Amino acid sequence: MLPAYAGKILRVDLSTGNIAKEPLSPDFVRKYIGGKGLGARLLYDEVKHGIDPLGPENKLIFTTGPATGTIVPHKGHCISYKSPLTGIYGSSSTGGFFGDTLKRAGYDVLIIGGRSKKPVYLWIDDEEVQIIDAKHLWGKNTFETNTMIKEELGDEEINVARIGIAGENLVRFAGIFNDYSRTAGRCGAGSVMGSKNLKAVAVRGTKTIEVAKIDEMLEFMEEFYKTVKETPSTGTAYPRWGTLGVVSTNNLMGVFPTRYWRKGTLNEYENIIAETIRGRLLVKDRACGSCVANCSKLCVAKRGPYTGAVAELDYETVYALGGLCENSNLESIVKANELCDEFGMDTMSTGNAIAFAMECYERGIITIKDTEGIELVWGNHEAIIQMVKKIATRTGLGNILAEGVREAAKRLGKGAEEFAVHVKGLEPSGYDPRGMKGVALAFAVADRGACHLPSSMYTYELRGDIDRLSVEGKATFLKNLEHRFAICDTLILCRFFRDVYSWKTLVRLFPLLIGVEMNEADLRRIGERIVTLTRAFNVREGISRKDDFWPDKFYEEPLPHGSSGEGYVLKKDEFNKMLDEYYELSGWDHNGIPTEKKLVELGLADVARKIETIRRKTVKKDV
Amino acid sequence: MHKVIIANPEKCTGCGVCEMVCSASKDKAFNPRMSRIRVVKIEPMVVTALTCRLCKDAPCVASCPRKALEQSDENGVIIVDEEKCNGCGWCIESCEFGAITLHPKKRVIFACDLCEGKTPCVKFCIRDALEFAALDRVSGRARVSAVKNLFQK
Repeated sequence: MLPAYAGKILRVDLSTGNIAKEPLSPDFVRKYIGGKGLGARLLYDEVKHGIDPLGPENKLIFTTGPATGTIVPHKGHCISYKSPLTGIYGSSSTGGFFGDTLKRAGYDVLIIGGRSKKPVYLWIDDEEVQIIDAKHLWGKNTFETNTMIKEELGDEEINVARIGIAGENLVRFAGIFNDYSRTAGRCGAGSVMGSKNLKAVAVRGTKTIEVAKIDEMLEFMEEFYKTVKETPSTGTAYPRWGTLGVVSTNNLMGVFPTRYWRKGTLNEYENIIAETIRGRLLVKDRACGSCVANCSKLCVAKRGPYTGAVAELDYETVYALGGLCENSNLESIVKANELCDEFGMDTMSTGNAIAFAMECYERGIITIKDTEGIELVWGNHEAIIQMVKKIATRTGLGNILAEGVREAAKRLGKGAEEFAVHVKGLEPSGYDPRGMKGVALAFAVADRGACHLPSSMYTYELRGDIDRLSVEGKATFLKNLEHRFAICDTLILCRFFRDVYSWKTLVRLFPLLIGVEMNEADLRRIGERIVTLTRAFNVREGISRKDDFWPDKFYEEPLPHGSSGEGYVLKKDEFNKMLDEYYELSGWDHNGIPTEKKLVELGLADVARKIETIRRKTVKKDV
Repeated sequence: MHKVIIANPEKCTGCGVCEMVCSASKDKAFNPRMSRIRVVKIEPMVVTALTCRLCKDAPCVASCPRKALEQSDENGVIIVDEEKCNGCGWCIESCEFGAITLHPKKRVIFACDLCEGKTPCVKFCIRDALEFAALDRVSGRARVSAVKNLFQK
């Protein structure tokens, strides 16, 4: 096997209890590298289309990459699966040290399939792998589960990826937690784990990770760390403010989603900005593996009814549980975040679900009878806290919201679907697309639904590198970012290092890590292959152009901005123009389906056969 | 007074770069369990790093039944005679800091040897949480900071 890999896949079938180890082939990793790349290919091959994401046929594919467990600043691990929230390609990568330890235990990949008859957890002790009864852990929250497993296995240095009660209750946006509260949060990996009756994966890894050229790597890293320190984002902004700096930027630019996507600025936004948080709540800066930007901001509520609540606050949580619910009570955001962590669910989807319910309440679609006495009005932080609990335990209205906004709107009816905000079933990250045209395109075509991460387009629009209100050149800009970040995702490098993981740096890293020279063109091709492959997975599940859109309200209702009263709005013709450009650059047809020619060109001939059949059918339908 | 490597828990983020650099410099591979300096986390609030404190009359040396350990007069580091050490681990039990431990591959004891004063772990610590300093300097600084805190509050 190539250096920097453990060289093995660990496969666990929870239905049969079968545990197998397979070699990971060098040819395979040359094509998909690791992380998201390996995960996407294995998922495409092993999870057939049309299956129930919460059934035994779904798989949880944990992958690490060549940089995992090394001195290259990286994050944790990537988990690929079919998402129970969106019904399409699901993948979440997370910070934390679980991935490092998994790799040191000897596995680049862990594939978990099937379904156990009773609650169990998996214990990977280097070579020894066991499935252990978890009856005593069922019903425990994520923190308790972590502590109890470490205690019973008698080792403080193990890492535990686990679910909370939300995962057990199949809340469709439950996450898989590791370390204290690092989360594979979006798309519902935690409910897939819950559906398999798998409470946790504990891992102890004692082996070494050897890279191709270690002395040169140390030399390069010394130089690289200097660059990191001198670069404003990685050297100053993230270490000091984490991701929270965006709260004030977005409010000032009028794209901070507020009052469930109806406003772009929160009236009292100064209460929840980075400066306030750092001054009033911050107790500790923390970091992932070899990361020198320590974006994690551990916060403690020190006043009011939520005193003592602890959470690692980040921008997306503040947007979702703050602005979106028109809530400027900072301590309540910490409390709601802490509860989401305890129960084990995504703060972003949770905040969206609650804000959506608030709008339903305002419009009379749900009443105080439905909420069982909770006054679900804007900014009522006590109501937010109560709703978090109801969702996690699937109580009353919480049972409907636990399905995610798309499905909840469908069940509630009475016009709720018209204002439910999602793309492909995923509630968006905190950037209003009406004031950021590149973001509008990027979220619409992102492989897991309305997500900011595959492209990080928001950064460049907020920073003014490109004109955020123009549609010109956005498709080209987006393609470029997608390919580079797909490579970062194969190595599981953090998106927040976007300014320092340039093509040049990436090209330099490969020979040092795996001993294989890759030039920029090679890497771009691999990046494009991965982006195309996740699209192919989605096409197989029925995704096409019709799904690459925002809900109508973004094209019809302007986002109020400034005193002019005009506001930002998406224009359908402009949006379609960007989409056409994007498809053309991608080698996808007018319906957004990859062409046979493109797939073959990218070395995906085996995928091409299936996709071409689908493509021809949709073309016919068009005619 | 001997200089030791100390960590500032206020600044340490738990990134583990020190562990990576240590095992890479000494063993040409990445593995925190082969690092002479270790990150310790008490979730969620406390993170710091620990390595050999170079204790006077080091208990690890005293506990070794095979006289495999010796303390350098020059800089206070624990010198391990890998021929004599049989990995019995009495020194591990005697160390209050968990700073001396068994090498996972060699199965003999290892501890921080200060890398001839080059201390790459300190050099790589971008948040300046690590420092190679004499303890009297550290106490002097702690006094100033304590008094400052007192009067600021």
